[in-house]
Amino acid sequence: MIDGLMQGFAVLLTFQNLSLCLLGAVLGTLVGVLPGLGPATTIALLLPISLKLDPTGAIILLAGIYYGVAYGGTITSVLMRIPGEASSVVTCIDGYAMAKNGRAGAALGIAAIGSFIAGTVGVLGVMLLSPPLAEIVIAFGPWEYAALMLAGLSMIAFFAASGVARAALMALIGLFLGSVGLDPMAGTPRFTFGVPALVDGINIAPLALGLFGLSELLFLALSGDGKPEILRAPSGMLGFMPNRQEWKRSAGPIARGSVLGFLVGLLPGGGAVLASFLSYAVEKRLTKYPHEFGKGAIEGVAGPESANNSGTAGAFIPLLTLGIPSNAVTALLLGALLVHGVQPGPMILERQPELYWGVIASMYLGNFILVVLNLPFVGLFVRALEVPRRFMATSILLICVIGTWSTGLNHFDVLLAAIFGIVGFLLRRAGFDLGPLILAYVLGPTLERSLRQALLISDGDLMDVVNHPIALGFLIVAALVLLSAVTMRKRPAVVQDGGS
Amino acid sequence: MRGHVRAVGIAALVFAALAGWEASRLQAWSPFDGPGPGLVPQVLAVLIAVAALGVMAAPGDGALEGGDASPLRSRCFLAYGAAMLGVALALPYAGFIVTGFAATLLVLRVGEGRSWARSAGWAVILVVAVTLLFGTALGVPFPDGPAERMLAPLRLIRIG
Repeated sequence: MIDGLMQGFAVLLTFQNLSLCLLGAVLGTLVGVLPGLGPATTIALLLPISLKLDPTGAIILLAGIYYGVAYGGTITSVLMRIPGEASSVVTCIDGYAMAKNGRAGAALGIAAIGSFIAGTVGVLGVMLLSPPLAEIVIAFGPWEYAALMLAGLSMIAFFAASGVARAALMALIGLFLGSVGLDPMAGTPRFTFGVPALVDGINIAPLALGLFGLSELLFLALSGDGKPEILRAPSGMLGFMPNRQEWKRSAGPIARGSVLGFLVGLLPGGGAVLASFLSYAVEKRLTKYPHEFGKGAIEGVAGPESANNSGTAGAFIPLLTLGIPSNAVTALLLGALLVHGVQPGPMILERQPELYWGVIASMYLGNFILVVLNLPFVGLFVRALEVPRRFMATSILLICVIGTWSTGLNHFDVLLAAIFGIVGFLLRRAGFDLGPLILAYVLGPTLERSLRQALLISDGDLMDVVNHPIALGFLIVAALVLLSAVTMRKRPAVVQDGGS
Repeated sequence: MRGHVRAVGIAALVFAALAGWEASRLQAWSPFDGPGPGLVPQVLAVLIAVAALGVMAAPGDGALEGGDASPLRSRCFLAYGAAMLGVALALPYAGFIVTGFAATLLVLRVGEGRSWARSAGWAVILVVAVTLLFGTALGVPFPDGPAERMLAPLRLIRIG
């Protein structure tokens, strides 16, 4: 393992990869600061650019954005009560209250330090757990894979913010879109309607750029161009240091948030958002100062901020070792790897160790870069909010167009992206979460291939799954998850209780 | 909100019907090759219809994302939407540079209400920046168009 990590640092310590790691962290922080422009949109926008890089460089850049966002989102949550990113929503409650009480520096400081500690814990977890998990998964057959994919998809329905039925509808449409093109086993064209560009299926670039990039453009057009009120951040480094009492109160939440976040990040459908909400609920229950929650309790900042960072790291385990994304962002990362011809899964450690360990090493360095960047440059990042809509929106439009064109070099993809942009806008406007759609789209081909292989081997006997205890276990988990998803939907209560 | 959700449900039902009809023409099972190309799409079409009915039965509450105002009454929204579709439709005939410039100009002048001079200024800056980044620095081949044909001999971009 140490040898692997050394290999990772050797891969990372080239000028190109170091620059990409820094660029990813800076872009991630910027994206986190800008409300609306989330990591999925940014990764979708950068997907075409990443195709010009080698797979390791591409994933280092895109992963940097993913974990950088969690840091950046804190800044606007604390100083403006506007979550730059979904995983920072819960920080708005006590972070902003602390800022109003004159403790903005302490809130930002403990968030950055907690994030750094949790990020490091998360990366250590990825490093320690991935290899043994990969060894277990290597023995999986078609039934196990198909059941694992179904279990992953069922968890999406459980964790999706928009409700079970809506998440299920989005996931099913995503699976269907993934089936367009040549059938993976017999090579029969499906749903191509005579369009040659569809024979290879719907490319991830028009789908992602349309659903996330162009739909965001339409929302930007619909929003006002007003400037938000920003509370003042400290000017010197000392201003970010929490006092002794705040340190003491934050130690436990940081430790708990790091572990909880990492474990939640492992779950398909989990990740940073859920981790931060759960951590807030746990800290609110365990604190000695419950009356301060909602009015500026530092535990309400330290716990969730730690949890969302380790959750981000934890999400890399299912992505790299199982080839299963946990959320829309990791689905796009998986898409980027697939476009590069890299198939994440248990064999990645043997076939592409430089990529696996390079990403791990970049996460170590990225966390360090982020903590160094975040505190002294808070003021600079906040100024990004002053970029007028007209500049940002027109840039998104042209980047989406040329980005979509560049991945397939055909006009049909650009038209498809525009259509997906409108569809994405309409779905989001009606409260549908697009995460399950892109996730299922990415998982769909593997699910179908595994299922059909399993049915072929068992001569069409569905009951053959009972001869595969691991697969049966996954199916039972999927059934239980769906059952609980239908019977209990209490997550939003966490914020309402603690809020305002 | 409920009306929008139900509209999505109806659209999903139509989608499921069309998808199911198309999928029914594919072989679902072969006695020799086992599961065929139509199996999964046929199952998915049925499940989409069921989920769509579920969504329509319990549309839920909540505010519309982006506010209650109709997007079709927003000049800015219509300008961005028209620019988006316009670029996609004009790209095969006019290339990226001309359509990108025209779309940016339209959005800034009509949608954002900027002056012609400012709109044209930003449109030029943006198109040049995107062309230099993607075309020159990253070597992305550009769609064929009159401006691209002028720039290609200068080796600033190549046509795909």
